[in-house]
Amino acid sequence: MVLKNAIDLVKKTIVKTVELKPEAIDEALIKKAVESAGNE
Amino acid sequence: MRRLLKKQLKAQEMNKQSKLKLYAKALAEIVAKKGIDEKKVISNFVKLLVSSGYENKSKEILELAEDIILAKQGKRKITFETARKSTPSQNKLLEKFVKKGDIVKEKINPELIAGIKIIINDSKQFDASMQSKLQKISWQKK
Repeated sequence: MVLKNAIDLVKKTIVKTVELKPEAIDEALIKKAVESAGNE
Repeated sequence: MRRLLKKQLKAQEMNKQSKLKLYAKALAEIVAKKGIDEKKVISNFVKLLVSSGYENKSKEILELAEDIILAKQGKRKITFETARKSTPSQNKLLEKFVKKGDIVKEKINPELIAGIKIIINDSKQFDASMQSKLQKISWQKK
């Protein structure tokens, strides 16, 4: 139960962090995706 | 009895799928030929679909035919699924991945939260979305 609450809290924190700077996070993830897709 | 019925239904479904692939392959081969009367070919193909009861599957058949044609030409169908409209600098990153002749589709899916899903030819998928990363957190606890 405690672990589930902790996971939910972490998820909410991550979502809130994304909301602060969505473009920057998008860009970092897109860079990663393009790199790994390009290496295939 | 139920198992047998399930087996028969599964076989029928597989049979339908292979028939759709056959129609798609035939269409792709005809379209690839040079010097054909396209209007006549398409009209005949539609008639064939109607007479065999596959007119409601025409969209699926066309998509399959498109995949076959693209594969023959060595081109790819790429879908970029993002949480929000991508910025010009993000587009630049994506352009590096796209090759000449690729067909690119963009899809916005806010459920991704952030990041991107790159889908190639509806088969390969590169998931760098926040949604998948959050799902992994839940998976790791098990």
